[in-house]
Amino acid sequence: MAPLRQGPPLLLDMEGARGSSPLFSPSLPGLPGSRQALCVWLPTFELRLDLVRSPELDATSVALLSPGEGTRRTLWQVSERAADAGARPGQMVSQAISLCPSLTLLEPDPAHYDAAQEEMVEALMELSPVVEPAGPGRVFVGMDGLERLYGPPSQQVMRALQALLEVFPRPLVAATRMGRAPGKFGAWVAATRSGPGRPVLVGEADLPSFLASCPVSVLPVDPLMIQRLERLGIATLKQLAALPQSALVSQFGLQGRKAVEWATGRRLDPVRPLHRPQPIRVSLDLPSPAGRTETLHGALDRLLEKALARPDRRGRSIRGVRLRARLEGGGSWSVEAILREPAARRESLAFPLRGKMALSPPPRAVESLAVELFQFGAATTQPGFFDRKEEGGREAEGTELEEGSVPPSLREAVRELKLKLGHSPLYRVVEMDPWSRIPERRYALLSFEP
Amino acid sequence: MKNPDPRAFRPLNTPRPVRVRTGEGGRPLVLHLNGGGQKVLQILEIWQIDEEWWREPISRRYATLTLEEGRTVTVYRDLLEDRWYLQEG
Repeated sequence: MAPLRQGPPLLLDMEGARGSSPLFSPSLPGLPGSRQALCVWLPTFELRLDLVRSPELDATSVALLSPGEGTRRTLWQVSERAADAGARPGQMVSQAISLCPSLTLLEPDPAHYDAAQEEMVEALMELSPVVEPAGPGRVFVGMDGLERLYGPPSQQVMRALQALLEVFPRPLVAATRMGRAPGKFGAWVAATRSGPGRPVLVGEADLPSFLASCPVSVLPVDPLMIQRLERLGIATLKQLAALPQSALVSQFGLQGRKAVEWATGRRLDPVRPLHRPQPIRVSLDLPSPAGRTETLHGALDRLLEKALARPDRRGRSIRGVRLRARLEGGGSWSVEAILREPAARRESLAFPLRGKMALSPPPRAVESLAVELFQFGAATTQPGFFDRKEEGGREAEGTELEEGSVPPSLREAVRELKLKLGHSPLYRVVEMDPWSRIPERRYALLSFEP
Repeated sequence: MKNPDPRAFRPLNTPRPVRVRTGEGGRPLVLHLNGGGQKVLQILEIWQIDEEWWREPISRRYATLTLEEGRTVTVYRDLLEDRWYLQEG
């Protein structure tokens, strides 16, 4: 398979970034994780998957379109042949076509990519129980304690390749890059320095010298910080490590401190086992392919109602929701929304999805629609507490209480606690003088006695 | 008359005393938090409030600081008591 190109890998701060970071997925807090990490990385994952499905395109100029950009579409990933003709990731389609008239454009198929990513994670879980996905086509595997099972590191890497061969065709596995080092950062940098069939293994003692020669662009920090470092003439991690930590913290805050710790190999982020709450999926086959917005909105509302009413949803609010569609004539489409505040009302979930649909509507008529609730707010410590079927209490079908109303079950619980403790241990935050210049006068806790 | 339950109402974000080593001009240099000293790397912002001179005067000089561990905290010096406190600004 011909080599492919995409934009620089998106790397965000492992802890500092809000929302989901490609290098930092939700994991079980408190678990120590694995110090030795193997980074398995398949660059241009999505385009390679499409070329595996359509091998006849392998020898042509191919580009994958960016998902969800309406009429002003740009290129997301391009094949080597297309790159040779001048096509670049991020380029407008019209510009790319003028440079490379024979360019074949492919629509992204997010459902297919997600399924392949799942397969990749599942396959690597056969190797080690500590597996942490970090964006499409990139997975960290915890390697602590595997020597007795699989032998030295080089053989462990071979086992990982064999595990991938169980689920992916050989050309795809052959393009996989692998790096093994202490900590996720070292493993990622090693993977970027590896080649197809040429893994890079870095031992504990070699890590600082290995990192020293790497460019600062490998750091998982804000790209603006990288730009500033490069403008200051700090090109390598060795140059960065020579700077006083206090100066970096002063310039870049917490990111500066982390950067110097990564650069020197002092900071080793362990691979943590993936915590995957089971997503809730509901789907609907439309009687005939539909493209009208009103029809799709109606179907979305029905699906959200169904999903919220599922017994396994109760007691949990929703943070991430995805809408997928199977399109007429093949292919798929999807949009997703991560809510700033977890919600459990249909309207709150439908609103951002409708907005995304308006920006990036399905390119063809829709045959079936599916909703997936995939990120959840904190589960209540007393499941069912709000769900007791009492007169005036919350209904089970996903509807919320009116603001300010108190369900009888809660009243009863407070009454029981008062009898036991002599006072109500529940409080609510009340505004006192929110604009006061004296901070302790702005808000207070008031005993909650419904 | 029944005494009100003191637990019924609690202020939020009350100031907590903190030990601060200062340098020239009263600039905070080291904060003693949880038993350990943290060097102040940078003073991000300084402001002063003078309120309620007509009853119990309040005079505080606040400072938002970056500590060596990377944390950002807000402290103030009570200019009447000459004591330092930790508080969210």
